[in-house]
Amino acid sequence: MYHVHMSYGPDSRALVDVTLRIAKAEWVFATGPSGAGKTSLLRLIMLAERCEVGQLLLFGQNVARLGDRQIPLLRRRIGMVFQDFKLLPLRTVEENVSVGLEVQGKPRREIRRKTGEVLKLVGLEHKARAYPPRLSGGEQQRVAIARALVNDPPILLADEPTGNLDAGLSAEIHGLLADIHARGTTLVVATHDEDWVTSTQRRVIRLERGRVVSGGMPDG
Amino acid sequence: MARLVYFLVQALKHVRRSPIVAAVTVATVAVVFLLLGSAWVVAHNLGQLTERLETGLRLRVYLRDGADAAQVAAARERLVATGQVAELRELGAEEALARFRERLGSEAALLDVLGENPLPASLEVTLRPEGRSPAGVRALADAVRGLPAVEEVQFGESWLDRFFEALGVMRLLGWALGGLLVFATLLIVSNTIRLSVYARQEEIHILKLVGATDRFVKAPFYLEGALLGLVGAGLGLGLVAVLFQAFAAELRLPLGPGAAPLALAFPPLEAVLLFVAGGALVGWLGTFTSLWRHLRI
Ligand SMILES: Nc1ncnc2c1ncn2[C@@H]1O[C@H](COP(=O)(O)OP(=O)(O)O)[C@@H](O)[C@H]1O
Ligand SMILES: [Mg+2]
Repeated sequence: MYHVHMSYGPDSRALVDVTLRIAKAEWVFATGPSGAGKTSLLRLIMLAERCEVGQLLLFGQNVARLGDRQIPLLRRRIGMVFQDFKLLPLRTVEENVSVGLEVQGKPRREIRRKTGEVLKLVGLEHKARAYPPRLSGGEQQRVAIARALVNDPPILLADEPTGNLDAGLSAEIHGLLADIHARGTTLVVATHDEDWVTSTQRRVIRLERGRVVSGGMPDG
Repeated sequence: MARLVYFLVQALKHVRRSPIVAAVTVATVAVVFLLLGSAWVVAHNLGQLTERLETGLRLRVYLRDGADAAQVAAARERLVATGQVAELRELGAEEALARFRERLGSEAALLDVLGENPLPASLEVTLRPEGRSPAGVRALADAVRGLPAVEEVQFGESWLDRFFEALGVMRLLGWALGGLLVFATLLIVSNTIRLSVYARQEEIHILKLVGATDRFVKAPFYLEGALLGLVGAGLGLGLVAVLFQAFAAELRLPLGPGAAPLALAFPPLEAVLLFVAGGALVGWLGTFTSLWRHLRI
């Protein structure tokens, strides 16, 4: 159970006095026009950006002033699918996925087993030894999802996971994310795919120019 | 252990991605260690030479002609009291003459012309190893000079003094120059790691985003630097060994009549390994300064 309340630096204006709360195992969407602050919000949650003012509570712990040494430990409990995937071009799909476990120094056998598992989940086990630049956009997207899931994180953040996919591939990703949520993962998805948002019938946090316009609180 | 293998694989990947930079770095480190290693071998042999020369350092205390037994005993006591004396021999006037006669060989007849023995009796002092330095000998001489039994004190030849002085200056210069070279090596390795870091900025960033600690990100760079230093130093010192074997191993340094010539020696293996490990240390330090200045994570 955690809730996020924070405001962001006055000059950058990426997020202004944002207050919101997301429950454990909930699935929420963050929507809004381009530049509204969706990416910034997700980056803030995973502490890729730090809030200068305000409080940020994750897993019941205030992480707004978390020390640099603690950040890696927190990130291992949050999976993030980046808008631009952020895959390592010189490592294979398999290596890209397992890197999330390698940074934790997990034993090789466990890494191999778990990596195989999530690659199967996203349906890419046959591409394990391919290099990301040679994959299609949808395949890269799924590699990014696999990497985010490999730690079994309680929280998954997905930034425009269908932003550059055609309808068929998008539907596939939608199904995948629904499965992940069904397993009890808290899901925060930034998107402007309005059809998906309405058909899923989940809470929507609407952002505009860095402010929460609606949906900041459950049942709000 | 598994982590070390992982880091090592990453480090080797770094090297493989920029083989020319790595080769230039290794070559530079090798040249520096060739110079340092040569200087080291010379210093090692000078050290051996010094030891040999110092072993020969003796003190001779000439006794006054009319000194009585009590006065001589007092002089002996004073010498022994310094605690620096390994051996003390009294050489009577007759014995000294006999020795001199032996030295002259066929010319010994000349001495008969004198009729009377011109040589004084003396004390021959050998120093303990710890005291075998020009300063130690001088201290011992000062202890007995001016006693009633003592006519004169003679020690070491003056060239030896100058030799030691020159050696001291050379040693100092060697250290200064060596330090400078090591510093230059450090900068070169540091620069290589800087390039390596720049080439991997994106990768570092991604690793951090998926929960890597700073140490995890840095470890391959440390290994890379240490590896380049180690290989460079190994090559440099290997070259020194080859050159030594080819040109210096058979040389013998004559130490004057009567003394066995000094064979030139290569330092012992443990010392060589330590020296090569020094290369790894320089590489590690180069990485440290590089990451400290260029890695913002
Ligand atoms: N790294 C950055 N540096 C400065 N400004 C940024 C940076 N990233 C985003 N912004 C700004 O913050 C605002 C929100 O951006 P973002 O969170 O990416 O919006 P969205 O993901 O909703 O399109 C935009 O005005 C953008 O220009
Ligand atoms: Mg965005």
